[in-house]
Amino acid sequence: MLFLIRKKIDVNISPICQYLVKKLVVFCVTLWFAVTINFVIPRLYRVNPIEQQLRALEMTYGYQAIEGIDIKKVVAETRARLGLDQDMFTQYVSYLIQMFKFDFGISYGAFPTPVVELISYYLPYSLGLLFTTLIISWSLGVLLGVFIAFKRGSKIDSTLTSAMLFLNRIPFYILALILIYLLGYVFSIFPMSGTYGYHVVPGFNLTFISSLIYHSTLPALSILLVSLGGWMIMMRSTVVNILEEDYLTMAKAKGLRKTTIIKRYIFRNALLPQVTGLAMSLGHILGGSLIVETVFAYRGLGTLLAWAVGSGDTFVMQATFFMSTFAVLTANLIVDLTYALIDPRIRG
Amino acid sequence: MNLRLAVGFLLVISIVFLGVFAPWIALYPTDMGLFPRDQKPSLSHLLGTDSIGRDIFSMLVHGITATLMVGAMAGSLSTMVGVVTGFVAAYKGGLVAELLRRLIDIFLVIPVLPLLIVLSGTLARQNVTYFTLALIIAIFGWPGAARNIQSLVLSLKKREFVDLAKLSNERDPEILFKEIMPNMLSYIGATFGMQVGAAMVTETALSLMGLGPSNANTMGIMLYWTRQFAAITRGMWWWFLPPALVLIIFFIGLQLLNMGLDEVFNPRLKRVTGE
Repeated sequence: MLFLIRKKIDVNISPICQYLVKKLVVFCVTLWFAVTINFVIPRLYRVNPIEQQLRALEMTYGYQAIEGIDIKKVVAETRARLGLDQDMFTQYVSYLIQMFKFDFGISYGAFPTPVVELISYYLPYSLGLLFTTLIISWSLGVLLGVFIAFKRGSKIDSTLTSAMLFLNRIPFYILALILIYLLGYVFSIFPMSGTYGYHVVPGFNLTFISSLIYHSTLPALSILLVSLGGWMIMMRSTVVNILEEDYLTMAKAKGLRKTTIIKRYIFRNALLPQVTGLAMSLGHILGGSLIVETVFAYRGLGTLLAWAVGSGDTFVMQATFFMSTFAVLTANLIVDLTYALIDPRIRG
Repeated sequence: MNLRLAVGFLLVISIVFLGVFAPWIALYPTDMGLFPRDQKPSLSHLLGTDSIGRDIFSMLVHGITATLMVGAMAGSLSTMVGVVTGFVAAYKGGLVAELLRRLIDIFLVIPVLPLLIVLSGTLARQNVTYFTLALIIAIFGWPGAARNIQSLVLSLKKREFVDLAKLSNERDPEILFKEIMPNMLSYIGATFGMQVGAAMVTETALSLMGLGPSNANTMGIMLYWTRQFAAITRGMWWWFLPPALVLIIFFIGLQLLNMGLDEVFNPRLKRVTGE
């Protein structure tokens, strides 16, 4: 008979809508902030990419490399062409419009390729590596954390926890170097660099996918082994706190099975801070994975970034920063949305 | 003194010792390649030579000095700024504190390493010195310290002695220095340690990409040269393993030191973590 009871429709916005709007606003403000930093930094030094390239050429190869080129004229020409001689506000507005359309300009290191093309060539592999590694290490960390929390105080608990604590402090790329040496050079189990084999053509066939997995194992392992410890320890301390709560004693007194207790009480309460922890560390893990990709010459944004640094290509560097920030912020937004679904407290 | 504190302190202090006394410990000059290249470790070259012909042991010891210097400078800068901004963000009300809180939140979400790469990549190569590098790292590192201090001040703010101080008409800076800070000293020390560690990791990562100071000699730049000469593919473990292992030992020592100091200053935690 409950359907007969009509509730008066509230004029106020529901709490879940308030929550989502707030998270969207935070997303936009943070993205705007990152984009503004991206705008301000090169203009602090009054950088002109062509001038930088020419000066780099002059420094590397000597005066003959730029003989006959009137630097002042080329610089003035590019300033006009890139719109650098307009006032700051017009530049800023057109910059924002371009960023909105994902138009990052033309790469000067790989002239005349547009930067978007370069990024779309490298981005999918970066995202795939990062996404897979995060899911595996987060899930394994959660499961191990629950397991080890039940065994707290035992020998296996202290050894595993200490080992994970130490592993967690090693930077990703240092572990990567060691893994390349041990598993790539000494024991030759995995390849030491590259994303897929030499003669393999990317496509949805088995050779490509198996080659990709084979080459991605070491980069994934370097990120996985380090971050696994962090998730495990966080989950362990959360579960240990939950195990001392009254409702757990009540559940055991009711005679519920262990698996039911774990599913219904422990996971539902412990997963929420874990998901928050995942969202907060995304930026750090992405940065670390960029360096790991550089070490492995993996076809990802990291290698693109290293190349851009080497060839002084500011547009590609800025675009890579924008894309990484955009990816992290989008992932954060998605995590916030899932939070709204699984946390009943937000629904009010 | 418990075991963790002792071991951690030992590890950290031995590396710092190597770094401080580097000019006396390093046997050979490192600015030019003077020796036969790619030599394995021997009696005359404790860690062998690299592909340019420099003695790796001397480079390692000088590298420890350089990396520690950058880490210490960046760590102290970011801790100082972090303490002040963390206090303002947590304690005061008003627009400035609110903006500061939002700023700290934003900086903690944005991936900082690509931003650092953009910042130092657009800087002209010859302008990058140790101090510039430390400054850049501190500019994006202080929000981490600020967040720690902020949560701490938030919890201390609610305690009674602060209300008592406010009733006694103490002004805010007085409250900061006389009431809150003495309770925070151990945490500030721990934050400083963490910031130094994080700064060293960031500096090594930047140097690995090739963005370190040009003629300098940090451990990150040693690793950069190993990449340039494909040392791992050639199996030259004596070139890239020492800097990697020194860094690992330092970070583990720092972690042990933190944990040991935690046990000394906050024995309540022992019961909570069940150890």
